Order: sequence, then structure tokens, then C-alpha cells
Amino acid sequence: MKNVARALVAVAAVGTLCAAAACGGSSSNGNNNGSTPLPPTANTVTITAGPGPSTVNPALNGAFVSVTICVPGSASQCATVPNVLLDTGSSGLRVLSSALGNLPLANLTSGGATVASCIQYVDLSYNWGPVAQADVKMAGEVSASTSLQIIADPSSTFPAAPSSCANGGTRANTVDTLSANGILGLSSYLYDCGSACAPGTTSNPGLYYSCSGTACQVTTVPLANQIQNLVARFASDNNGFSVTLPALPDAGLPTTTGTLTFGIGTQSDNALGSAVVQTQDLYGSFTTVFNGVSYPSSFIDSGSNAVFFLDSATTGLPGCTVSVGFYCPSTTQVLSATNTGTNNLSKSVNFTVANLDRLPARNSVFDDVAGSSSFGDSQGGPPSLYFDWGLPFFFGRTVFVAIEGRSTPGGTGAYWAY
Amino acid sequence: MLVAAFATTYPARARAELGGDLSSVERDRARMKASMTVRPMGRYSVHEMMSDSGATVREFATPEGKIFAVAWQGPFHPDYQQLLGSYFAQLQQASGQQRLTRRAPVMIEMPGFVFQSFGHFRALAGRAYVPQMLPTGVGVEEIR
Repeated sequence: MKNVARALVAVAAVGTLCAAAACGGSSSNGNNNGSTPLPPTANTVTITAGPGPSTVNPALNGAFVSVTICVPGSASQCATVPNVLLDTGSSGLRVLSSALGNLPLANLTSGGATVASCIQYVDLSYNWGPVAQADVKMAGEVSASTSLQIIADPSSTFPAAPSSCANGGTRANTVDTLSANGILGLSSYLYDCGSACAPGTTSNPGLYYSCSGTACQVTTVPLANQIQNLVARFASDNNGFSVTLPALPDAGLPTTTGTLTFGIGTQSDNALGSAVVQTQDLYGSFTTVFNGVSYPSSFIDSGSNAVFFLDSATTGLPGCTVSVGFYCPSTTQVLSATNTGTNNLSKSVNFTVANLDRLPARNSVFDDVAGSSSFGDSQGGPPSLYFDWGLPFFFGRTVFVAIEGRSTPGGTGAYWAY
Repeated sequence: MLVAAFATTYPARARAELGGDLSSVERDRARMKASMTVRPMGRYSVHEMMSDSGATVREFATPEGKIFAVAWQGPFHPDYQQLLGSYFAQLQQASGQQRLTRRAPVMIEMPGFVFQSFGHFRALAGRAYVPQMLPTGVGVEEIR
């Protein structure tokens, strides 16, 4: 209900003479008694989809935003970090230490020891480094005194990642190994770990460590101090967000721009409109039906750089010889699938699979790139057979992501809508 | 379905894991603080462990008590060193050669070691097996 009240104040204020700069940020909205209407909080930032910051390993289908990180309470001790990967498949902000310059952020401590974060992605790459606290700003929105991960770079004196953190994967700790200056995880989940890593847990998966000297041990961190969804911590527009990217020509483009908009139905620029709401199951998935077969472990993820689905045996699409792991059909295929949420609302989705090996190498963003999600032994069946609707899915549409437990005009999150 | 309690103690040097002995399953169970279910499947047995955090690990053992495959599912990656034992080094070697351009599931296929990790944030799954150790007549599709 709090969100709704704020939304009314914000909408009522549209069109007043108050200049945005003079009227300040959203923090004063809560004290507004109506006599001096305030303008809505600026809630959009530009997304740049393109190769990103690495010339050694330029991103294929990377979507990037700028994030301003400040010493808590300070308006001047700030660093604006460009080229942070927008990942709707994780939660929390992680930034390379090298991208922050000399910004004096205090690390999170527990009993005198420094708290460190370890996150391992599906592709087994991992980020390691201390947890710091900062005010994180995007457009007019602020996530105050929030935990973020400072990814320790190779020259860092921070203790090395324990083997239990590396867990057989590869370390991403430079612009070239991350293909970004950081990762902004905005998903429907509030926390990167949640209660499994909080005090009282009986099976800690080990996303947080306590470091004294060079020794680091798995520890617990209270929910409030865990690395978390920054949007959920905004003073307003905190029930979700949307990603809008333009349609692309078949040959792709070197770069394109779109918009990340905070809030769902909280301002005049973020209404659901005709978008179909599809609620997620307990595992953050929905069902994709393709060629009459249901794949119930499917999901949407801007951090995946293609539509990864099924395998060559199931789809009949040959794999690429150069871009191994992607599909390379001899002629471009236009396919159709139907997505259905746990609320039984469906939407048909057309998608295109081109031959990645033949697409122009000068281009970095494509809406027609796909690859396999499984191994080639199609008998494996679910859950290894699924649809991962990666960044190509976002081109030519607006995708809303509602945060778990937050109320919106389309119902309570978690859901996707498009 | 047979539920067994393996409360016996085993030598500390017992190795769990893929390629190891059945005796190591108990060490895995203890480290996961998990409950365990054993299912005889004819050509092999499945030792399934479930932890409070919703993680499930299944270890597939031959009638001789050798673990030829492991499969997992849960909100986070399992401890691969614990699960893969001596095959962990092959995972490290192979993942170091993964191409950066594909932000996607991992598929490693070596002559004596197969590894897959798939799914997404909070819903990860995967499996690993030693093709040469699969009992005759057992298909890889059963490892899940």
C-alpha cells in the first residue's frame, strides 16, 4: 500500500513548475503534505547494448548501464561506473575494484573480520571480493547504505578466493574476463542468497565469507546486509522495473540503446499497459511450449547472450563450427513458442535463429542468435531441456520484472510481463 | 522405496564422490547435513540426499559399490570438489578453456568425464558421470 500512496503523489505532481534539480530527490516525497507538489522521481536510465568495455573479449549481446556509487551520505565522494552489465538473472551489484578508482568505501565487517562475497554463475565463472557499503544512485533513485561486492582485481591485496568459492570455475576479476566493469543483478529475487546464508541457517551454501588476515571462512550475513536487489531498496518505484530495447535488423547492429525504467505502475511512464503478466513458479521459472512439448523450467534472463533452448537433436538445428554452442542453420529459421506463467496466462512468442557464423563480425547485438541449452542427449528430458530467453528476447519489446512479494497493478511479484 | 540410515563410521580417508566407493556417500550426506533415501534400481542403486536448503544430490552406484554418476539440483552450485573427487581436476582444467562468448550452460565432454551444469539463478542443476563406468544397459538419460 505504501507504494500505491507514493505513486499517487508522484502522478499528481506531473506538470508542476517545480524544476527537478531544485526539488531534490525522492527522499522528501514521504514528507510532502500536498501543499508543495513535487515532481516524480526521475526513474529511467539509458541501456547501451553493444560490445562493452573490453576490446580483448568484446561482449556478444551485452546490455550495459551506468551506476553511480557514493560514500554513504556523501554527494561528492562518488564514482560513476559505466558499462555495468544489466543481468536480470541475478541479484545485487558487483563492481570491479579497478573501476572505482580511490573511492573510500568502508567494507562490511562482522566481529572485526571483513565480510567477503562469492557468487558463482551458471557458466561456473565466479566473482570474489569484499562486501562494501555505499549509496547507489541511478537516475533520481537511491539505494542508500546498501551492500555491494567489490570484485578484487589481480593486484588486490585482498585474500585469494578459497577453493570452496572457486569450486572448479574460472575467476572473472578484470574487464577482459568479465567483459564488463561490473554486474548489476536485477531479478525478481530480493537477495543474492537469502535465508540460507542468514543466521540460523542449517545448510549454508557459502556465498559469504569472513576474512581475517589471509584466512577466509564461510559465514552468515543477516538479510539486511546481504547483497540485494537495489530496486527493492529505492524509496519509491521499488516494486519492479522494465527493460525496453528496440527491434533490430536481421544483420544486427554494432550498438543500440534502450531504457531501464524503475517501478511498475508507479508513474506515468511505467504502466503495464497491454503486457501479459506471467507469474513464476517457486524456482523462478515458467513453461514454454514448443512444437507441442512443454518445457516447464524455462525463464527470461538478460544476462544470457542468446536464446538457449533444447539441443540439436530436438530442434534439428545444426550447431556452429566456429561459434561452438550456438545454432547455425543453413537458412534463417523463424520459430514460435508459447510461454505460460503459473497464473495460466499465455503469450505466443516468435523468435528467429540465424547462422551466427555468417552474421557480420562488426556487429555486437543481434535478436536472432540462439544456442543449445542441453547436451545432445535429448533423452535427458527436463530439467536439462528448457528455454533460456536471453537478451534477443528483449529486442523489440518491453519486459517487466516484478519483485517477489511486492504489490503492483498487475498483482504481487514475482512475475514477468511483456 | 527403501529408507536406510547409514550411521556407521567410515575410515577418514574414505573418498566420496564420482569414481569412489559407496562408503563415501555417508561422508557426503554428513557434510550436506542431509537426509538420505536409497532406491535400488536393478542395475544400480541411487543414493539421494536432500538438505534443508532444498538441494538434492543423487549418487549412482554399481552393484559393486562404485559411484559412476552424480546428479544435483538446488538453489546453488554444490561443492564440486566433494562430489567429483579425483575428477574435480578435470573440471578445473576444462572450465578454464570455456569460451567467454557464451554466457550459458556448461557442457564438458572429455573421453573419461562428462559434466553438465544448467538452469538459472536459484534453480541450478547438473550431472557428471564416467562413461566407462556405466553399468551395461544403463542409459545416460537415467542420470538425473
